[in-house]
Amino acid sequence: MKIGRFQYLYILLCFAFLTSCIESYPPPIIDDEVNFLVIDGSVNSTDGSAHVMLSRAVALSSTESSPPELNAQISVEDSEGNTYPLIEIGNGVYQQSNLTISLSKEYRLYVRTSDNSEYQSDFITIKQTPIIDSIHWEPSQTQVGIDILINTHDGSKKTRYYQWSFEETFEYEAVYYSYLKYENEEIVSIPLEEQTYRCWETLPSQKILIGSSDKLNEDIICNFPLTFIPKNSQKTIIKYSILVKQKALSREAYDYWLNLQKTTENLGSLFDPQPGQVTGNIHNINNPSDPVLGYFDVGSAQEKRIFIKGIDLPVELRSFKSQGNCVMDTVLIEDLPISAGALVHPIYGMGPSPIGYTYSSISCTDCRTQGGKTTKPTFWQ
Amino acid sequence: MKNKIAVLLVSIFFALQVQAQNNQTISGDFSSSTFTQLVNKIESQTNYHFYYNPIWTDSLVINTNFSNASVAKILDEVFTGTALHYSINGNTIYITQERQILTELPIGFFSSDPNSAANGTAFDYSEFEHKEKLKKQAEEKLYNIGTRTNNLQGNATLAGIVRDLKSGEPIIGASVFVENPTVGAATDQFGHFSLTLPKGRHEIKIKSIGMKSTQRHIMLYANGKLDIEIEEDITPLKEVVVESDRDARVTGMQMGMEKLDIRTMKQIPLALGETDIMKVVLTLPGVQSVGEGTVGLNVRGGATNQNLILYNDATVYNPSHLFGFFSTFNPDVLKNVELYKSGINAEYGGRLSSVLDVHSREGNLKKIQGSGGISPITGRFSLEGPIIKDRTSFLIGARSTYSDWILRQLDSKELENSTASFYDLNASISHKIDDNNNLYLSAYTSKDKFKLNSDTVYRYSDSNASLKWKHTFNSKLYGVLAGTISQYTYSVESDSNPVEAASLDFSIRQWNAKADFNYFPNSKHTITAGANVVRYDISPGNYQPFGEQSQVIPDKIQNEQALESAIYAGENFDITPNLSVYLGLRYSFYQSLGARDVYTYSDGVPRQESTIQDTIQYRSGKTIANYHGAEPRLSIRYTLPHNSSVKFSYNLMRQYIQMLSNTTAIAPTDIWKLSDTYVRPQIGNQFSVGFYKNLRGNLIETSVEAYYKTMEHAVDFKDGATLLKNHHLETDVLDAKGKAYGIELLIKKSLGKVNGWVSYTYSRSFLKTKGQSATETINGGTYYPSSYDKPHAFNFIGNYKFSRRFNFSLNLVYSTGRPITLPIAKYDLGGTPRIYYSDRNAYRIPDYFRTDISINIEGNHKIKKLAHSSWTVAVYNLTGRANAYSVYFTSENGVIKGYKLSVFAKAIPTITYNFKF
Repeated sequence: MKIGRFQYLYILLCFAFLTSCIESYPPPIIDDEVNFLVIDGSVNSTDGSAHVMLSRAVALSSTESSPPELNAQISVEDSEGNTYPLIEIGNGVYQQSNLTISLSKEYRLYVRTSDNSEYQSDFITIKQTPIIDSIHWEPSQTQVGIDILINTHDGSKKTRYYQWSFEETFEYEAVYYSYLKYENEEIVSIPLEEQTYRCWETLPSQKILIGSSDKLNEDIICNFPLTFIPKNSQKTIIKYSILVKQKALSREAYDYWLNLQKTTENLGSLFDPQPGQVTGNIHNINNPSDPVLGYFDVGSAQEKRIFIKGIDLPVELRSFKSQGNCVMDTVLIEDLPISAGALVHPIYGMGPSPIGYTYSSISCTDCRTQGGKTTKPTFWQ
Repeated sequence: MKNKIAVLLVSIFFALQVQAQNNQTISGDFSSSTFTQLVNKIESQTNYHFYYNPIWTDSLVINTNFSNASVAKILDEVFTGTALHYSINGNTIYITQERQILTELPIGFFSSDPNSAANGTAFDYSEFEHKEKLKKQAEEKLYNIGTRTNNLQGNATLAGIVRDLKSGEPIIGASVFVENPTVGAATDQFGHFSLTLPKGRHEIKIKSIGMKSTQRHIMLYANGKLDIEIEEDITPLKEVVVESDRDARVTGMQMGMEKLDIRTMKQIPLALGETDIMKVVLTLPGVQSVGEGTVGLNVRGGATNQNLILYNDATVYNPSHLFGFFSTFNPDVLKNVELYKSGINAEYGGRLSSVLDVHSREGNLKKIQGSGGISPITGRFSLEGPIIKDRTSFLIGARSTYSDWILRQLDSKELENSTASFYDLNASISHKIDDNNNLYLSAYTSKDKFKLNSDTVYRYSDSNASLKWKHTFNSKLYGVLAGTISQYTYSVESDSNPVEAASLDFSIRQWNAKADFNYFPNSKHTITAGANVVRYDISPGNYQPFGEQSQVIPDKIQNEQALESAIYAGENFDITPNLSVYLGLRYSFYQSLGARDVYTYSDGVPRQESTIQDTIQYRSGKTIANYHGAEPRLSIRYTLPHNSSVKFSYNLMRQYIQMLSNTTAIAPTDIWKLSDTYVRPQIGNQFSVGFYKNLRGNLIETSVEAYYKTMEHAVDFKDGATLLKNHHLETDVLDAKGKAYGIELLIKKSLGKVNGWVSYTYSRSFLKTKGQSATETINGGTYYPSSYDKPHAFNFIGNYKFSRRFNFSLNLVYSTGRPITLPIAKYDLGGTPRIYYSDRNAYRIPDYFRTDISINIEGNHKIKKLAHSSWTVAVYNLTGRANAYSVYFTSENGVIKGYKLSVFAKAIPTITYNFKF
């Protein structure tokens, strides 16, 4: 049940009165000091690796990205008093691998920054993550496109709170296949390994994806929607793949992510709850009123990957390659080289050798201009 | 075209023919002609010549055709239903208003025959004369009250009811007074008045809103009764602007009170083409809302749950349709609404900020009548009339929307599966058992159903009923016994995912019994006293699986029960003609009752799920928590020379039921919570002082009122509090202190071609939440502005009457933007930017400004026709300013984006058709 569905009322009224209701709004100018410490840390209980990222918050109106916090001392402590220091590898990242993690112990994080402020997280009890039962797609009920859905369960009914993240990878093509190039006053074929026609792009998930079965008899997550791919998205023209990571959450961690989701994602309806300050399970030991952002968690993850071929979708949801603004132009041999663009194919006159070539702009012939890479991922089938 | 000319020529030819024969008949087609055109036509076709005053006839529209009609017949038809008369003397026609010119002396005028002279009706020819005579008789007659004696020592009390001559409805708020000595009273909600006067001869004057002033001569020998019927002061169909009790603002005891008549409210331009009392109330000084499309009122810095909304004495919990775009009160059945912001009398209690007392009309006691209207969103209809003439009347009203139909016309996949519907019904019966006993029965229900994008259905319903028995013991004492029942329920059903399909139900029921007595011992004292008892039953949440596949575990939050009782007494004492004091005391008792399990928490640590220590079980009917306390009320008025006065009042109010809502607007999923061991009753104190002055013979009223308020145990919430399906709300609800202060300026002109009001309010409202731990403290435990703190507010409502049929209204609203919590910092978490918010309510949305206009066009003023109709053309938000409802920031594809949401971002024109028969 989603209580936050009032945006639909709102959309409805917008339609009903043909009014434009939502406009962009510039962020306020803030004079206060806002460089709060951000600690994003986790320990993988399966392989014993610890990863902590330290940074500082910046004003909302700032155009700079969050600066990393350098020269801090970080360690993971267990409930028996053992400490495992992490190694700074630069750019605010601190790591350690091969920690011996015991499921019966509790763990916490300790941070001392270069200005001698000390931070500590609450103790974390490790929860085992159940495996993912299935990932599949279905035509969306509410929009034109497909939903990617996940099913999972825990027979022991211990998990109850779940978090997911995913990486989606898709194969796509440039509009035109340029297999010729002008090099050393000659037209030569482009070797296969240099082709820029076929690309793969990988994108991480952006939204907080959490679910809970605490209101159900069984510990079941049934058809939880992970993401939506609209019709005519480039993702499903050829082939699409999604790797889903599942993590069991503690009740506290679930509440934290839920609050963060409520205050940063699900806003904009008429009946929004008042947003508030969301802080995690890490505290400044010396100054408890100093907010510490981010969360520290210890646990394991389960993964599952699926592939979706464009031609497997129902006809009405299939995506097709579009020409966009791309056009081809012609250049005669004597006018070569062209100042910008790539050659596509030769044009023949009366004789056996080409008199010119068709060409198009780089953005129409080089798939990398759209963000992807030409190397085929190792997992690609 | 040629044919038409031919027909015209032929008809003129025939007309001339006829004229030649008779010389005095006429033919022609008059559609939408003015009277002057008719006169010109008649004068051109006949020898007649007219004498008339064009001002009397300029609103006449003639829509008939005549063939061979005599001039007398034409004029008879044209003047039907108007006050105009004609007299034909030879070839001269005189048009007069109200009475006819007699062209001949009465038959037998010169005759010496006494019989024929006696039979002559003298000059009393017209209906007007007849009516005037009856009225004069009533006004000039000397009524003897009590048995005639020669002993005229001491005082006696005269009581009675003021009614509308035409409909028999009681008139509320009419002033009944004698000038020497100055003794006066206003009629109460039953039209009842009571005056204690020295025995002897008096001239009693009666004045009321929109009614003709009248007087009665009495000879007062002993206590007795005099019912007075007064006539509506109308020109047919003219929507009379409220005259208000014009000097009441200065001379009355009440301060911080606004009274609005339905006729005033109907002139104010509104969104979506409906007269909406809640929206009109929002234009009054000291009343705010958090934004457009919300019904919640914030009165003088109070929260939306601190208003007692009464409909015919029964409590209303959710007065909104479509989540706040309409109020549930059907304008056709309403009589008036009174808003008390301060100086609240001891008879009211239970809420801190205000009392909004809404009265429906009583049905017409003399004849069946109906009215209705059609606007872009709703249709409404009401019917009233006598069941037993002059004794029993009924009034029913219904209103519904056809928005479902509109939704289906919209081509959008998101709206395809959405539905929205609502309706409300009102019914009331009033019955006069005998002169001393009256019964009133009223019932009201409103229902809303909303389905948003196919998966979740919201339903809510607010109903109440009241039965009142008024008994007059004698002219000095009457009592009212009332029983009411109110119920508010909502349910949310979701079936998008069969495994998680569930429904969530909430309900609150309230039974109320009360007795009120009014005693008028003498001219200087008015005493009121009474008692009431309220029983509450709340089911805060019942979460149930929905459908066979559902895996949802049923989850029912425990019911809450409570008993709230109060006794009160109040006295109004006119110490000198200039100084009056009202002193009241209410004592309220409250018990939170079992059966219920109550958690106990460890001492000294924040209350949260993990600190629950124990559960105490209370059996059914057992007291869980007990609160009681005195609620003193005081008002003082001192009249100054030059039509001015100063007033002071003090109130203490206690509130035992609170609405929990951590949304800024009232949402359909807000729950009500009774005070218990942890959530303590709210206590409010208010001091207010005012200066009132009327100018130009009470034509212009001015006032300045200032107030200071404190609130104890106001409800506040932890950041990210969960209020639904929460078994231990005390872990999310915080105890806050509040303070509010402000000054309200009002200038009002109620009469004349130009009328309306201008108000300016400066007000502040703060909350302070300081708990034992950081999670129970907001903004470091300092005072912070509440979500409805809008320091500057300006309202202008103006009406300009072009003529009796055209009325233009302009409405200007300005207020400071409400406080919100804004993001101040951004940071990166797992590759996604996130935002960190400021202290609660540290920033404000942009200021609010809106202009509305409307034009009322009445149909013609013929009294006798099938139905009287009017059109209202209005433009809401004329300038199309996109006023911010909220500002929010969200993380989208890795970028933080700010948005401003406005509800009505463009000008919204509406057209409404109203009818009455």
